[in-house]
Amino acid sequence: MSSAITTFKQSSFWLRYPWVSTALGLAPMAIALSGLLVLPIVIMVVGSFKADQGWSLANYLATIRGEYLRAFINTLMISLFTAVLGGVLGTVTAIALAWGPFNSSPLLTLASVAANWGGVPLAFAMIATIGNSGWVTELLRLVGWDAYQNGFTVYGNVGLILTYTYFQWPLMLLLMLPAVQRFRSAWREAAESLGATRSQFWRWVGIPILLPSMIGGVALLFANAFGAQATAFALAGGALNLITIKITFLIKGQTSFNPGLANALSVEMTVVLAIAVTIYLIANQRARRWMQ
Amino acid sequence: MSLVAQPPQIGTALPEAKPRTWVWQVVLLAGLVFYLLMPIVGLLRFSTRAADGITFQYYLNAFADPAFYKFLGNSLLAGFWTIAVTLVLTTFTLYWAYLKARWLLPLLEFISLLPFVVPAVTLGVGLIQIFSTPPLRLTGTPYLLIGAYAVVTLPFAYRAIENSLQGANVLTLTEAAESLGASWWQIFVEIILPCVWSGVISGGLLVLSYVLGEFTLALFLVGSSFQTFPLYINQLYSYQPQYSVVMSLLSFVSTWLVAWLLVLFTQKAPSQT
Repeated sequence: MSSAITTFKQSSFWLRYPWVSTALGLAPMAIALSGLLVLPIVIMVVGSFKADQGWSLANYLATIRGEYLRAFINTLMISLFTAVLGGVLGTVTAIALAWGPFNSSPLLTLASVAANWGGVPLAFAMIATIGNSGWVTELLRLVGWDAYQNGFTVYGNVGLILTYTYFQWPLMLLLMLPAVQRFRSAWREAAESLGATRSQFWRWVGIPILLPSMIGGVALLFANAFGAQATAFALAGGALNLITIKITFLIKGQTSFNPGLANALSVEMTVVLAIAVTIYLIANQRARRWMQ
Repeated sequence: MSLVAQPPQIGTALPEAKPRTWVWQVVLLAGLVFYLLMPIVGLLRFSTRAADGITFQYYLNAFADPAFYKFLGNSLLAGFWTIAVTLVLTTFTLYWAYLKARWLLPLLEFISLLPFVVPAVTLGVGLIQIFSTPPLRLTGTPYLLIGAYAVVTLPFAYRAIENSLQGANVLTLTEAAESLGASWWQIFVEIILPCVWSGVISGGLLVLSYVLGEFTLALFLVGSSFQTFPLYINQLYSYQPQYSVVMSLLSFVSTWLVAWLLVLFTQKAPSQT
């Protein structure tokens, strides 16, 4: 090539301005993300500050009162509970699976199916299981305990927690498995040879090493539960006091249509979720220290 | 989350160690399996219940209803187009980033976390306000839904394609092909695409599985004008719960099928030199 001889002005447009082709190539994705992701978020934030008389904080003030505050606290409690419950169950199951002589493949397939299958079908499956005429409920009646006489209902908070656990547990299992597998058996053996008991091992070696991954996993599970809508909606519609349900009715409801309020609630949700995901990222960074 | 199964590491025992029993491990794992299968048992029981025993009438009726095929077809159509848009967009953009803008790659990692920071509800709230007024009146049309799905499934496509591209040494291959005189179209179709093929397939399966089960965005953005399969299952429950349960079982089976296909495809991922 005679590139040494051609002057700058004579060389190809693409060579002179390489950033143009880069920009053009990245443009489609940029446009898609801008229009379908960034813009909706911007509209949501801007719209949350608009009430009937123009700019105001009226929407936000409404969210810290009465039913919306209760919904927020309720969603927070349920999400935290299922995150910790799923976190503990998932971690110990991951340890049981990885440190034991089990063939993990079929169980992992089941876990990944369960972690990804949620929403509407799961809700109906749980009704068929622990609903008033669900098979587990009837089985328990046969052995003498009637859950529904004792105040339990699948359409309430406890029912929702049991339903969410269906995907939270396997999700935590899948999240913790890499961390537990990378836990070198040499560490366990070293502790044993130094005379550590089981509980000492866990207290000083096991839990400290696994803790960052566990915290990250719980944070992600929290975000997962906090933002979930389909399962709860199919389960009990407006009867469940969750933020996502409230937002659904503020947008799709005939009598309760209030996009400004929905925007404010969504913005608050996003803030909570961003905090949870940040915790997850930080915890993951710490966990990586053990992966060298 | 990764659907690839990893074999467990088996710890080595010290000579003086007591023989291990695996009681609590077995209990835990059996407990998990039971918990994950008990709702399926519930679905099976509810869908076959008759006055005097078992009936498969609900299955026959549910699959004979033309509405089933229409709404399943809607979901499959949305799934197909979402796969097309997302995979083409992601493959092309990732390839371009590998070649020309490597600094972008860590930024794109954040895309994987989007579904957790901006879940369907939040996205739906924003989208419905932009696209429900003219001149952008796209609510109720499948186009908006497909567009929304394309954005939401980006993390799946991104991770799948990224895995393939990472191992494929794209830069070297491209430069080699260029020096041999190939046009960039040839490079893309004949060299890069075969490398990312397994990523494309696994990404496509994940996207399909997601779209077939997605409820929230469909509820917000299209409602009854382009009713999708999950919306149909939900609506059906109010007046024909047994059919709804049959459909729920079908959804579980299809999710399982996708997961199984994924394991199949990721295990036989070809190695390229």
